[in-house]
Amino acid sequence: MIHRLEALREHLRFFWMLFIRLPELFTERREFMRQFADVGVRSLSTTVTAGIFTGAIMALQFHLQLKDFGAESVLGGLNTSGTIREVGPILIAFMLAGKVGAFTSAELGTMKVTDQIQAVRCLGLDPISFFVVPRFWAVALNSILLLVFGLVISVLGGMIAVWMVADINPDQYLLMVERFATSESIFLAVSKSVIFGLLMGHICCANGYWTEGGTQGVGLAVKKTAVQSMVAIVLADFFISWIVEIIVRSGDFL
Amino acid sequence: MNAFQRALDTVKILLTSVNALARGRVPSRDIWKQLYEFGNSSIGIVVLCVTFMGIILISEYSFHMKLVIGNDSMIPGFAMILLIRELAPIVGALLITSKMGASIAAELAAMKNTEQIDAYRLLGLNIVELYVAPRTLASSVAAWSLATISLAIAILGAWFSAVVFLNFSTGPFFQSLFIFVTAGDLILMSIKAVVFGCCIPSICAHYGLQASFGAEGVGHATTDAVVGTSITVIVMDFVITYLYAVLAS
Repeated sequence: MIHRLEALREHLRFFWMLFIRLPELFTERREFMRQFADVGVRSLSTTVTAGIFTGAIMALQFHLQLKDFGAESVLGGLNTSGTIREVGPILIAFMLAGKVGAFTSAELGTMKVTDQIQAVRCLGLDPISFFVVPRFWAVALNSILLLVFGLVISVLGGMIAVWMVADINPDQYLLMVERFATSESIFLAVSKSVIFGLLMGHICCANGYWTEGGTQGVGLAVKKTAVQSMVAIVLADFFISWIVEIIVRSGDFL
Repeated sequence: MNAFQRALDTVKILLTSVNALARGRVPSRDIWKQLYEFGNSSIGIVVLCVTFMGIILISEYSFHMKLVIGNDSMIPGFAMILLIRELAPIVGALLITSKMGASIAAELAAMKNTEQIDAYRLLGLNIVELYVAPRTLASSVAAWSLATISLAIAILGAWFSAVVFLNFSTGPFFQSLFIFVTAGDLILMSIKAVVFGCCIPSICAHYGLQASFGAEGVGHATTDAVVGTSITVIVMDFVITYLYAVLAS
């Protein structure tokens, strides 16, 4: 238990350090732009696939459930709202944790075990501001943008699936989206995206930077990144839903 | 290597290992060891994730049902059906992928780098039968058991939060659950869990065996394995759900 708490303290310290080093992004802006473009291009196809299929799966399930009640006309709104509030962010973030997080972790870990980070230190540069800070912000910002994009795409996926299976035409579907996907749902979806993005960026950079011991260490770091990101995402999802609900209930929101 | 060749190679690995299992060429000692690895080591994290998803689902559904129907007596049935049909098998499969699948790919890639796979071939042994076959059986059994166990605990978690936060009574909660959940849902869940569990080791082994040389090759193989498997799981989930929707209607 003490061991776990110490690990948590290390994580928080690392996260805080990355956060306050934001100004250093300006001096390393070339590296940052390169990483940003790299991460974004590499994970766009994953996000689109995950988004379309998440929306489609949820639409099929909601269709099966609502069919018995003759409430198919509200399917579009209910499916969009349910997907962007809850299941969409989690599933797309799982995919991104595998794609972006694991890759960045493996890259940093390989640099560490092949002593490239030590080499940079020997040149008198700070490896954290040179390697870690640009990667953290590139991964975090990209994940936020990709998550929001994936959620938008998931509406399309749901629309197509319902069109295929249930003969509900897209006009009717989109009409309901406006009625049910309220500003509150969108606020919840975006706040989830922001938190998940920061969490993924932190976890992959920390595990990559702390890699120890040869090639097997890199494999271990990748596994740790994937597992920790998933657990962190599920726990964060629970707390964000809770907190946003309290905020919404406590007053006139928006 | 294009996507079609990749799929072909994966199917070949899967068929080879199923063949080896059917002919009893896999020692039961290996299977028990892998069952322990797959099942025991990931039960905590799968149960944690699925339980939290159950709790979140029930509160989200309460929000939606009040919006659409105006009463919330059917929430437990609706929310738990979604958990049974979709989230329990898929979240379990994604967690097994990132925990065990990544290590299968990393291990095979490292073995390829150190020329151990060539050594096995020289000895006349088939690496797929030796390495992938016990894991295929173990992961199918583990995926199904993990989905079932986590589902049971998630339903208890949802019941707890419904009673404490949403002013439900225990009776109506379980009544609505028993009315809505049918044998078809449980069979669908089992099919999904077994299919996902069966495919995960083959896909990851394919990526591991195709790894390029050097330390970077291992890293790339691991990442590609996790992403490829997750995407395949989502796509297979869609196909199974689509077939179910077509058959059910």
